[in-house]
Amino acid sequence: MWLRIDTGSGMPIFRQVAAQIAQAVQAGVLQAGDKLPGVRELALELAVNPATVARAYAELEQDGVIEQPRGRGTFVRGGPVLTEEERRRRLRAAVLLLLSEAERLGLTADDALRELRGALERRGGATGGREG
Amino acid sequence: MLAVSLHGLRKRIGSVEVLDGIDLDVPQGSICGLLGLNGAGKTTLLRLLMGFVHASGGTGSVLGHPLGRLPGEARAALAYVPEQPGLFETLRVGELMRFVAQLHPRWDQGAADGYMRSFGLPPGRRVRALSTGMRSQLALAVALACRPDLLLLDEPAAGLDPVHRRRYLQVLLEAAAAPERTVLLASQDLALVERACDHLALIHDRRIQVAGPIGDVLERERRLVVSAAPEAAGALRDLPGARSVRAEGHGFIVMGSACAKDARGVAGVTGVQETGMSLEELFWSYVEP
Repeated sequence: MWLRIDTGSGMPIFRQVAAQIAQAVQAGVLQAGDKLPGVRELALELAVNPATVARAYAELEQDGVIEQPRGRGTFVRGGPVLTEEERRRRLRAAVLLLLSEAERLGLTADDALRELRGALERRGGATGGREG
Repeated sequence: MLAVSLHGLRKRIGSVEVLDGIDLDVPQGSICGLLGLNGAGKTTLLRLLMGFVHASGGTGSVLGHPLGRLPGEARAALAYVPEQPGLFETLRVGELMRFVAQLHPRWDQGAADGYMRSFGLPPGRRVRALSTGMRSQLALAVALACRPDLLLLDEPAAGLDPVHRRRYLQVLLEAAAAPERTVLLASQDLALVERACDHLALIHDRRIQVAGPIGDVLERERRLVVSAAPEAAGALRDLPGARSVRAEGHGFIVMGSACAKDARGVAGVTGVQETGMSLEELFWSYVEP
């Protein structure tokens, strides 16, 4: 696989594996129904501990990115991957990050809001949510 | 079940207290990395587990038997690869394998042949003519062919080039997948420990400072970059979980499990940035706070 392991980055390896697979799903590199390598197989290929890969897969399964039907392997899941609540929780965390970055730069929440609107306009103005 | 369980283990060598109250649990089936500086007592600890030396105090068990009093069959389930493995230099690789095969009750010839192939070890080559990488691989192959339930490795893969090292790791990981097999490896190589291990234990100042599943330990640890007036130092040091507070520029770097929210509440603090901690930073925060 195309996964990169960066030891010493401050991000545990299981998070690196999970994040890269989630990104690939988001980017469409991996699509619903695609089969992922087994835990042992991927661990050997990356030369990392199998428990690390198992933990990454468990996180991805919990997030609804993949499914692991018993004994049949590991597959990318289709459909909405996170609960509404979880999506909102993560969005709020990202907003907090944005606000603290603004604060760090000596800018105000209004500045952050203006930048957010500007970014939306540049992107073509879709301000509605996922459903509409 | 625990493959190794140590409570208050002490070891004095001459007048030096090398280990003073070691508490360590290594779950069966795990690969545990034992980190520590040179002279921290890693090798002494491995030798204690093997029963080569006796503890000066404390208790412990290895593979369910009291430390230092393992019956013969349990001793055969232990394997130890020292940093400089003493191999029979004048023998050929194949001869060495046959020699150990006759001595060891658990020897698995099929597995031995497999490791030889995996590593590409030439059976006809004399041991003394092997490269550093091949010597390490041979030592690992011999240890693994004895089908150990507990494998102790001292500085494995030290000095190996990237190709030999990767192969070494892969063979070790594959062999360690046997559910009843536990590996305890002492190493300074943080990248190797982070990759190969699922548990870690950091030994410093004669004790285990931190131990547990590697992902949990790293997730728990934070690195806070705090912008603050110099007067904030004392209050930052008093934050619950703050292990190391270092003045840096117009602020401080706080290492530990202290949370950013608490740091923001300290008088004189104007900003806090929070990031995860790498294994190297974790190591430093304990050995040189």
